[in-house]
Amino acid sequence: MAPEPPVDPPAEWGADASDAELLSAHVAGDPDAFGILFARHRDRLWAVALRTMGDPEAAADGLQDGLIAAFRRAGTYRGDAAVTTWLHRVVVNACLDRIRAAKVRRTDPLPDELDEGDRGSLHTAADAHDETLDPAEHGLRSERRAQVLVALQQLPEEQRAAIVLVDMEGYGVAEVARILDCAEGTVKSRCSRGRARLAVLLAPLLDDDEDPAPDADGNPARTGDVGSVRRRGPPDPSEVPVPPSRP
Amino acid sequence: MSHEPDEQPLPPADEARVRRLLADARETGPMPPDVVARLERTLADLATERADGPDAATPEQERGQVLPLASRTRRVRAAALLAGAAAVVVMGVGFGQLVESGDGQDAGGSAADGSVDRGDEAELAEPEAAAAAEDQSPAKAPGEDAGPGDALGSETVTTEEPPRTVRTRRLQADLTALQHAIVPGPARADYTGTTITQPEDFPCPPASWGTGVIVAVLYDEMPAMVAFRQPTGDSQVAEVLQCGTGDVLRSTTLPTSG
Repeated sequence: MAPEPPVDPPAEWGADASDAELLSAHVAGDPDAFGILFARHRDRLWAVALRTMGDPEAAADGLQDGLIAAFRRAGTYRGDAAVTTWLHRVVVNACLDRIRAAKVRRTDPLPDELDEGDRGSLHTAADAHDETLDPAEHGLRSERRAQVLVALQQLPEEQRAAIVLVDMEGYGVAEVARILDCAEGTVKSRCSRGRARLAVLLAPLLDDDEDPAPDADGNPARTGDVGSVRRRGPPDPSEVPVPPSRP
Repeated sequence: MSHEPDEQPLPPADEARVRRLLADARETGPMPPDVVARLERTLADLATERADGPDAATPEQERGQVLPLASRTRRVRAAALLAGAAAVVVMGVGFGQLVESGDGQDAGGSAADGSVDRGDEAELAEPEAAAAAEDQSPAKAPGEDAGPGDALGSETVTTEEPPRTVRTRRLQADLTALQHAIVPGPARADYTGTTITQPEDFPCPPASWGTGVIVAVLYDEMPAMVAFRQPTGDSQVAEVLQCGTGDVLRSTTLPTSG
């Protein structure tokens, strides 16, 4: 049976209701507020869970755990960080807990050919923007993504979570530190070590990379269109990252 | 000692290439409809659970409003401990020291002196004083620190057993063992209030733990609390909570059967 489409939020909650207002209303007993709040951010939370877990089913499980925890513990929200930061923290922790509990470690070697049966391959490697590419380029890009996703699962979960948040989702180091409840230096260290591991695992892809040299800050001179509305690369200390809203 | 790949810093050019590959592999699609449907069902179950019976009390508790003390016998230690709780003084002080009530201090705030004369305990333990402290505690909205009145209405049971150990690397196993020991029948336990089990003098500043079965533990050798929440279906959320703040350090889902 096909799943039902998402339900529109009740008319009494306007689009201008802030996240904090919705969370407060939820704590006060409003039956719809938390669902509206979660619906606002579910796509980004899904992206984080999916890349952290590497598997859609596991990501759905982790996201559900986080949803339950956030629903129940909304009263503990202190307001010292954005609601989205708090939501991400709960979801990421739930995902990491599942990983640790299941002791999931990807040991499969990098595929020489694309294997549709592998987790993290075609299903999660496809991108909505691929349809604008010609078939040959589409295939190469999908293969490259699949290899990156497989390599990502080889990382220790703490490094993986930091890299997903910083390098894939584009959050600033400061915000990721709040999400992961660790020091900014720890985030930087995990990212640095994770990238170093990935460089080894993805050496063939790096050798094939023909893009121009990065700028003085180490940022790539140009990036492929991944549909992001935010700048990539190292975070600007003066910039307060704002998660993009999805259409 | 072998050099791990991640111990070697990457040249900036290689790091940029890796970041570019990662950015290109970002998930950009929306949450799949089947996952949306699943989570909406979960939300509906949670909302129904909250609206029914014992969960009607949950929103008030989470607002910081204090529920009337139950008529059953309960220790007044919880009320005395929570009134005006201040900065943590753990080593060498003991759990029995109390903070003066009625001085408007928040549980999470700092104080020049976190202890009071034990002679004040009797006054704090009186129901009238406890009620006065309740009245002085304003309703809390998210973003405000938990006040001393948040946990009034909870019950603390002192145990002579030492706190059990919960480890990050064995979280699921340790919490499962704890569940079997503390909540052997998860589906039948009482989650209407906040039932805290801890050794005497357990060095863990109080916080708003929420409703459920709460038990003192050593989490990676540090004092913490584990909260077993009202089960949903055949699963139960177990959370490791930080002393003094009640922040969720770790959370996992345990089965309620077996």
